[in-house]
Amino acid sequence: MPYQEAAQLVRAFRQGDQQAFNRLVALYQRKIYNLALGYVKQEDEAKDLAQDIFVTVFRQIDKLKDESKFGAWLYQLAMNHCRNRYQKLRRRGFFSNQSLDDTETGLNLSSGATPEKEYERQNTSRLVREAIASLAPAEKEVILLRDLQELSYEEISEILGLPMGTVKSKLNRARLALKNRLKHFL
Amino acid sequence: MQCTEAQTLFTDFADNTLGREELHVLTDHLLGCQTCAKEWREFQQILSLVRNLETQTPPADLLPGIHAKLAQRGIFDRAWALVKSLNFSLSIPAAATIFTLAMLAGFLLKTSPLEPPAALSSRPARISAKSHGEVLTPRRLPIAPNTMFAVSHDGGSRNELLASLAQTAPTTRRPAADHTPRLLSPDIHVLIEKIDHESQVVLCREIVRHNWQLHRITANLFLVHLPQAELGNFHELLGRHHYALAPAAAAEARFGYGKTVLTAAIRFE
Ligand SMILES: [Zn+2]
Repeated sequence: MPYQEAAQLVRAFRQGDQQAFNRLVALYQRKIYNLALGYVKQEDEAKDLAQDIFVTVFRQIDKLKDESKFGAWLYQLAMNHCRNRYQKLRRRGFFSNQSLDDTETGLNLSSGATPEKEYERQNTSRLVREAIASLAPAEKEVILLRDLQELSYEEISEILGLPMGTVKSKLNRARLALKNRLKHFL
Repeated sequence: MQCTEAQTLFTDFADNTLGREELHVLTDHLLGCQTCAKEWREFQQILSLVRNLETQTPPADLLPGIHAKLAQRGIFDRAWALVKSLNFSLSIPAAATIFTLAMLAGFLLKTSPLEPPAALSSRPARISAKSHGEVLTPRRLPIAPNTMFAVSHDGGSRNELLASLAQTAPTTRRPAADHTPRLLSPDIHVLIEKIDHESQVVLCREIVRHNWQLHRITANLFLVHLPQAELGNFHELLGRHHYALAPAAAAEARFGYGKTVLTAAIRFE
């Protein structure tokens, strides 16, 4: 994570440099977009969500106390946005046609398809993505932050406001849950 | 060691962070328990699948979309909603004008879109400072979302334009010593109703002809920077249209006297 560059940009942005905001977006958009995509799965929603996250960054930058903590602050803000959006979409039945959302059903197989055939038909990464998106929010978050965003346990602990031990045990549970959803495809 | 206990150690095992003792007990269990050995193999496979997922490239219109959202939901619209809610063709009592300005300035200063406007009306001191061209908030520098959408018609480089816009005054007219950061909030709000596209273009051309700096914020929202001394000419231009002004005092040529440059936001409806 380019901490120093981010801190400099945050400082410049606070001093009125509009371009610094654009550069901050450029620096983090890939991470934030993929985080959002991992959370809500659907691309248009992910884009909209990522945009809302940066709009909030723009508006609330003065609430950030320590410029060197921009990354953690951004992720916290992003997680809140993701949770809210997820709840909203869920209430609207956005995930209801995706049986993956139900912890018990395992992967969504089209009728008559064997796991092997399905595995051949769909590409692996899509399956993995779907399985991640289908996890319960608390499980999904640690997987996204650790295995996809490659953040350290310290960083995750700060972002989620949980002790490191809790982060680790949550992560282990989340990985086991993911394994149970995907093991038929191995 | 129980199977469930063994499996709680998988992440530590994968991270290579198990203590000597635990490592010993776990490997012993895995050697003796086929179920857990299989679980561990699958765990590793899944982990490598997840870690090898490629990140997706964000859509190219992500940043423009952020700009659009800032413009759409931004302070301008909120300010305009307030302007529109009052009928400016009637004369507004001075107190009400100050209140409205306080609301507008409050909105233009807000970072959080969620705070109720009521909390903003108690800042008349700031407003009187504003009308004398002083810095509104020394700490918070101009980061009004609208500044990012500035497009000029004078052909200067983008960075210069943004910088000059952030300083409120046009580059060519700004006194060299004036490096005081100023909040980019319009001094005057103009609402022009029932205007067709052609007349809009004519008005914009006139503004440019007067050598006033013109910035297009959105299709129907423009910012104009003009010398205070030329406010009378500005009124003359507006007089050809059906328009409303806020604050009411801006209808007088000496409005903003003491300031070198005034910023007017023009909204076409
Ligand atoms: Zn076992």
